[in-house]
Amino acid sequence: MGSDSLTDRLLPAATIAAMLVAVYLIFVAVPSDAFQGPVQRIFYVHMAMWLNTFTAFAIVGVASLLYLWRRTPRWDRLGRAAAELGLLFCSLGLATGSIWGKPIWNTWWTWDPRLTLTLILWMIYAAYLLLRTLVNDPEQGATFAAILGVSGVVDLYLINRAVYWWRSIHPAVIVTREGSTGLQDPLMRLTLLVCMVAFFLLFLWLLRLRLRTARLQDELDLLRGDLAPATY
Amino acid sequence: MDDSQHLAFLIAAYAVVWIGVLLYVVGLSRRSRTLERELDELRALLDKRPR
Repeated sequence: MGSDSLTDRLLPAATIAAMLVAVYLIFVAVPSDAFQGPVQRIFYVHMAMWLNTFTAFAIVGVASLLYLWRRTPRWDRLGRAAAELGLLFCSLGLATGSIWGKPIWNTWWTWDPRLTLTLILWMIYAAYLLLRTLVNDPEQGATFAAILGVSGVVDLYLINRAVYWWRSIHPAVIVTREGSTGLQDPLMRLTLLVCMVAFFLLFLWLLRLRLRTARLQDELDLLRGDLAPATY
Repeated sequence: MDDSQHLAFLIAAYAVVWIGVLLYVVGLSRRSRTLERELDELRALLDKRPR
């Protein structure tokens, strides 16, 4: 209980502090990109969205595998919570990418391999969450979702490789196609790091909150089950 | 495109992220409160049930 309450107190405080530093770096300290101008600063939050998306969906993959193996509800709970957060950050990643694309590519959307695979990823995990509402038996719904959760990991790998394997207009910034880093300025690299840490802390905080809600839901379903014979 | 137009895109991107996160947190907290209330009601109902 002690460590739980300590984490519950420390995590929000650390997240807010890291966010404030990130906002200062992004909007005040970091220089603008020579070619793209101020709009390049979208990149810092865009990358943070993808770090959270990939982490969330990797957690869904592992939790799904463990659920299929062990059949314990807590792995399904973790998968559900991470999938919902992954979908949130994936949507925000797509939105920030689209807003960056308009002034730089002169279009909100293009069927580039990485973008297309990302849209497929969004659909896979939307289906992961929707499947449960379509199947009457919760255990069967969890099993179908877990199979989808594991298969979605393949798409994560394809998204990561897309800019190297296929002709893509999507920039490869952290490691360029030539193998060097795309961020030359040390302050840009620091801003990216702080922004990613801040949003990762936010992810951990939200995951804890979402897991708590999932536990309450499961407890409620269990109690409803206990009550059912007396009610009907 | 000039810098002021770029700034509008920059502000829009960060606004989308913060509003998105905020809406999610508000939705999550409402869901959590509703579940807690329903749980309390059910527990009370179970306590009243003859054993």
